[in-house]
Amino acid sequence: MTYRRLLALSFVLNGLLMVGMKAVGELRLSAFIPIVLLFQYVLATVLTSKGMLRSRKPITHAAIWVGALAGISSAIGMAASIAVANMLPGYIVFPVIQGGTLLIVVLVGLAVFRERIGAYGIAGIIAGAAAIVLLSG
Amino acid sequence: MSYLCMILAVIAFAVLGVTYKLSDRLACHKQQVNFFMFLTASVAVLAWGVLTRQLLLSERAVILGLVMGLICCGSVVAFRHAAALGRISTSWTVINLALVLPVLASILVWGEMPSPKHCVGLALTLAAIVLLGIDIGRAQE
Repeated sequence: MTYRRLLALSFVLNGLLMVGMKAVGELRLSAFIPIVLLFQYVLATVLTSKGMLRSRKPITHAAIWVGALAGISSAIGMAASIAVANMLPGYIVFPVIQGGTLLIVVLVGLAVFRERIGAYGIAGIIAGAAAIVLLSG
Repeated sequence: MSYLCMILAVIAFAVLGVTYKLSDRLACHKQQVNFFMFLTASVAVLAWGVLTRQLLLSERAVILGLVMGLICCGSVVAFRHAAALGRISTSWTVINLALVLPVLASILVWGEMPSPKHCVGLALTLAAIVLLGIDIGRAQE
């Protein structure tokens, strides 16, 4: 598959995943959030296990610990997003979550990983912070 | 309560974003990280469901969960391949801009109408994503 097609697929699938989060509440399935997430993650585990086993690389402790931290944060993030998407309009929830996450990751990159930031990055941080204030006000 | 949930979601997803940076720094095998991420998330959600006695079965919930699992896995794999073929900054920007789809769905499908203030906020979010994407691209050069 070409780069553009992969990007388009990535765009659509990521967008659909967020639509799915909103759909949980709209389909009146809020009482079933753990079951929705359990089946989502179990299927994803099964599907990714094939690729991992096929690569036949030795499993490292770093991959286990980083994966575990990512898994716990993903589960908490998904559960909280589904819950909030049921309480507030989607045009507030998704920009604030996506924009807020981006800002924190960039700021952590600056503070912890000593990454550099240019004029566009500073403008992006200001625009993102202003967006969050406007959307959540 | 809603804003507490939103803050929790932002912090949790930010930690998830930092783990992607960590896995790069530690040169972890991406497929292994993805596998252990989904495995740990499955165990965490199972524990949450059992402890709160919320593991209620529903046919529609199971179907939606399986569809979301397929989408989630496909999204991760497509992003990984796209990032390997092209610039990570472009891939990263495009995947973040996907928030347009749920926003459109909320307006067109579920009839949630944003105010002018919210429209400006939404436009600023998209601008922030593009600007940060350009900055990452420049840093890579």
